[in-house]
Amino acid sequence: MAVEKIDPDRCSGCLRCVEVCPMDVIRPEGPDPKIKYPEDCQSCYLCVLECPAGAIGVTPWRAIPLGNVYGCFEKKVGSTN
Amino acid sequence: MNTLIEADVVVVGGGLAGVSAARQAAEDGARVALVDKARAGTSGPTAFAAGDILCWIPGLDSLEDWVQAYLEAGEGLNSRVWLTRFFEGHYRLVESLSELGFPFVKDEEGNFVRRSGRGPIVKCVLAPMLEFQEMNRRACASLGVKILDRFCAAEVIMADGRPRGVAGFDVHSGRVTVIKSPAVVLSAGGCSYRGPFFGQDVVAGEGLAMALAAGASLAYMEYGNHYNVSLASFDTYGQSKFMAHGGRYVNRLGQAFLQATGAQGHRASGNAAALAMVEEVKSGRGPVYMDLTGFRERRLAGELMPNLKMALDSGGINLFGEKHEVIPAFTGTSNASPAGAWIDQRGQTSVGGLFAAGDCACKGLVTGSCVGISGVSLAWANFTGHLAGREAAAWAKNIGCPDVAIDIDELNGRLLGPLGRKTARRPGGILRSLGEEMARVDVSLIRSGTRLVNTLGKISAWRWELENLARAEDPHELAIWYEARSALAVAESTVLSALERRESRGGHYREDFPGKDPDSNLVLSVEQCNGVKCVRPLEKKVVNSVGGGKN
Repeated sequence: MAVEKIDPDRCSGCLRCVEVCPMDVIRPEGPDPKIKYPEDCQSCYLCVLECPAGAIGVTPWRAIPLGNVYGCFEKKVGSTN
Repeated sequence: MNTLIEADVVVVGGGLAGVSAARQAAEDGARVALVDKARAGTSGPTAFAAGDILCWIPGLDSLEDWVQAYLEAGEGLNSRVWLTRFFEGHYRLVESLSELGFPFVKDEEGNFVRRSGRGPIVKCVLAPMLEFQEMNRRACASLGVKILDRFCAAEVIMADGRPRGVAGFDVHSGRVTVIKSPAVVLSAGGCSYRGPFFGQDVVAGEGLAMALAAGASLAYMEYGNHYNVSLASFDTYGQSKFMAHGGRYVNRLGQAFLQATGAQGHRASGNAAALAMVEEVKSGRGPVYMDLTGFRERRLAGELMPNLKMALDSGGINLFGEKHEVIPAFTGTSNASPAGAWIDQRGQTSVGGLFAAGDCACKGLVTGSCVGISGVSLAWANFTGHLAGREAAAWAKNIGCPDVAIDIDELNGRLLGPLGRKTARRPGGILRSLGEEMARVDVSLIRSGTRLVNTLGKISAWRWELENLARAEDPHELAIWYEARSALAVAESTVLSALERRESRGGHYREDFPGKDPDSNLVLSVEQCNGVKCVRPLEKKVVNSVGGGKN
């Protein structure tokens, strides 16, 4: 899930992704952006929307399941799982 | 190394409320500093909102009908005075913003396009919020607002019961900075405990925790239990838009169960929908799916929610043609929750000079006990943001800038404390555990005294672990440490208030007190005295007051 790659062949080094990421996932490393904290990516696609070069790849899937939301009320009868 | 900045007004948090407060205060002549732990303007849930802004319009809508409908929905905990002022004042504000060129959606005749949503009477004007916020930020910059991005605010500096500024650190360099100012606006959003929507991972309740620590009261905290519905496998948003325009939730048998649960049907609030989903799962008819085959506004959804379109494209997801499993999705005090810092009609908290706006301020004053009204969150942020900016600038003008001595070494040591630790525990793990606990429907949606006490015990243990055992590797993780500390304070306030409200009313349901108690029709507030949180009811007149705080 989350931000997977920044294509170095496409990236122009404008660092707009570093500027806009709400979760501080991307940091500059020399002149280039680097995915430094991928575990904090919320898949909001703001970096993809703002990247002028189309260099960033993000997937939507949740990295961490949301836990047992139904708590003690969960009943699996009839569940397909 | 430290930095010292002087201002008349410091605004903490750069979502819709914060950037609007900063712009308004600067327009009124104040020297303004706007700080955000990410990037002011595009930080927070606003940037990812579906753009529904609740807006009463004179000539088209009856004010009395709206006020009555909201009073009924609020079940005794909201205020006629606030509602009237909010509906009328917000309309005038939308008109003036539109004249300034802010991008509201208009029809060919130049009239506001409005859409309905979930709630008593809901008509929302529409705006693309990313574009809106970029324009808001540019306006701040041109007015001379000092914008500090990647600034994690940690505390309001207090002296003699009044704010004297804000202290925090740079999330990249770790440098501690103090901004001295006589007026502070807290607009850092609510607390979603890293909630399951685009943009919600950011809001962890820092503004609420800073308000509490500064001596301000929070209110409606038992209603900090907002649920919406999200996809099980990825973040989404726009549920309100989907459900108001032809979408349905169906159970494993394909039955559209929401139609049976009340007059609102698929337009039921998120909390009502989540409650119905729990019933389906309890009865073995789960899981629950979203079916958008009948959704009628696909073009508008694509225009107003560009990042949802990207998620669908990159994941190869056919959202409108296939059904997808959904879950009750907890967003805590964020979004359409009534919970927040108590404010008077000047947008001021119970501490003079300390203002709150947006999800940081209790919107229960207009929603009462009703959780999940569409469009109210953006309208409240817009209205209270401008209000707090104007009033904070006026406060600063009257008070001036009294000097305050700051012990920089002590501040450095305290703010950066977790950075030097050699311990093993990490703050992100604690925050995640807390989020999982608060998201449980048997903790936050269908409550019982026994389960709430159990959760309170866990919160205490996590807080002890965070304060004593959790280390931060770098300033990035230090910001997460502060998020965890803030979220724990919000969770404790919410659970304590939920224990204190021994009845069921609006979005608060107690299995052990299932009925409404006519004598419990007072708003509950939470205050912190010597590190201990106390819950007490607010008198009716305080809820309506112009300046009923302790100033």
